Amino acid sequence: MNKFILILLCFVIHGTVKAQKLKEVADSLYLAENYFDAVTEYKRLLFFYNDEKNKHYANFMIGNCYKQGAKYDEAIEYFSKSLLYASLDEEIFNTKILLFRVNLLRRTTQNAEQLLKEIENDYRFNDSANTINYWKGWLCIFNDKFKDAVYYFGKAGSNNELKLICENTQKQLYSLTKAKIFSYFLPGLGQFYTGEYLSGFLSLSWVVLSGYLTIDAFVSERVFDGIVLGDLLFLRFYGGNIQNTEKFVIEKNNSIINRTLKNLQENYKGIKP
Amino acid sequence: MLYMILKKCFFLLLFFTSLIYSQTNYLSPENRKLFADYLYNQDDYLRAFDEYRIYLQTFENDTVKLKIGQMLIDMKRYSEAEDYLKMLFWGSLFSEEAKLNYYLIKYKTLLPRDFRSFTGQRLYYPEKYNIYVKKLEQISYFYQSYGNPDSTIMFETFNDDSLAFRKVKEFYYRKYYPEKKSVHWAAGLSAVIPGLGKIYTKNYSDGVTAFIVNGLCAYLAYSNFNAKHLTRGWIFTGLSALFYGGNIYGSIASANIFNAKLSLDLSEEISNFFSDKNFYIPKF
Repeated sequence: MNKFILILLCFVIHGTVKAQKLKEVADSLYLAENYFDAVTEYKRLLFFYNDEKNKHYANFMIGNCYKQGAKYDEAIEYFSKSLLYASLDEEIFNTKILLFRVNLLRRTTQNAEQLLKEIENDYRFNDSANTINYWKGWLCIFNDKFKDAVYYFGKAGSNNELKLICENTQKQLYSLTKAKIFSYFLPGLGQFYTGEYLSGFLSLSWVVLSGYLTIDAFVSERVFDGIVLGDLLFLRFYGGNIQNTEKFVIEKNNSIINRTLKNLQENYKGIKP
Repeated sequence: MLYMILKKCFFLLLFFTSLIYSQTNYLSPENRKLFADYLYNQDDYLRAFDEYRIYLQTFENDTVKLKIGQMLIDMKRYSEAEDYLKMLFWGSLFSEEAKLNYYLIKYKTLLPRDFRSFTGQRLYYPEKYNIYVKKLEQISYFYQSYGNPDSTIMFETFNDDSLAFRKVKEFYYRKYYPEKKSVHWAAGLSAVIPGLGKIYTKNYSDGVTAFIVNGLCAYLAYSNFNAKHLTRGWIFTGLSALFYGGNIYGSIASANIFNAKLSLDLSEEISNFFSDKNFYIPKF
């Protein structure tokens, strides 16, 4: 009986050693950034050694390869498969965080937010509050909420660099509400606030001129003329002035945010999505 | 004694089995083929192609060559696909299938008229699959902007499939007898009654708006001049002229957009329909 068990063990160990060897080959390709061949080898591992442990690992690594190659849809497909076979809490946590990160990169931030909520509500990950807050900070960056990002990076601790970057960005951003209120009260002022002086001056001139013509019509008791002029000229220029302000604020803010993201991408050395 | 010998034999057998198993090489040609089949079923053609190619370095296998040809066509690597298919033209069981796929490549790479003249030469012609080549010929008419094919031949070619027959007939009439809108007629209508050109091009809301705005501005211009309010009179005249010109220009644009959309929608529909059906070429 002992001999039988010994031989069976032989049988199993030989298989495990082979799987291990294949895994090492795939890992070395991954480390050498040869992602295409790495995916092939991980798929080979899945095909020849199809046990639960390998299924999780190989799918997880295939997801990573696709993530590195910016093939986010495929990455999500394989991370999701990997999650199905994850048995340890750590494996589940890491896979979910990677799913979250790929969703961020793919700009499906709603899915990312949902995933982070799931992780946060899972009692098994109570010890990972700092990591969760760190990624919440990144989620806020991708949602253009730099004020909230400062808060979460502060909560995550030891991320002063990111906190500072977000604080600086928040200071540079233009307030859309403020700009719109300016334009409501004095047409053109919103454009002045964003530094677009010529556009602001033109807006003001058109609104004043069309306003004068409208009032003049009412004063001459040509009420219908006044209504049409007010609708076709005055309201068009007044409304246009507010829309114009909004457009400038969005444009300027996008440029500031893009600059920040570029800076993060190129110069930030910590963990990024 | 006999029991002991049998027991030893059993363990020896088990041991050798385990030894053979452990020495199974996942990079052996046979295993590569198995793995390539798995990748092929996952539609991972790029990797499947690599594995099949290595397998073919050891074994001759026409099924694999045909599979490679079809995969390469799907990956739009036509010249490589041609090379693999040509290997099967002579002395292979899949000669006709390879030739049919070769014609599919020609269909995809040549201009419609050139493709039909190529089929006319009957070079490497797949006699067994003659009907599929005929179908390709007829489909090619839908991708050219000139000439008018014989509708009887076209409909007869697709007679064996009711859905294909119905769709081909529909595409034929929509392509060669489209319900286009005349640009001149739209402009003329808008010049006489503002907005009518837009209504003619089925742009109803814009048509009604154009009519109301033009009428209103013209009335206000007239009324202000009558009441000797010259400044406002001129403002409304300017607005009327602007809206009137815009209404004619808009009607011309609307007719052009209508016609372009008609043609674009049809092209897209034709392309999607035949691509989904793999141009009626069976996968082997």
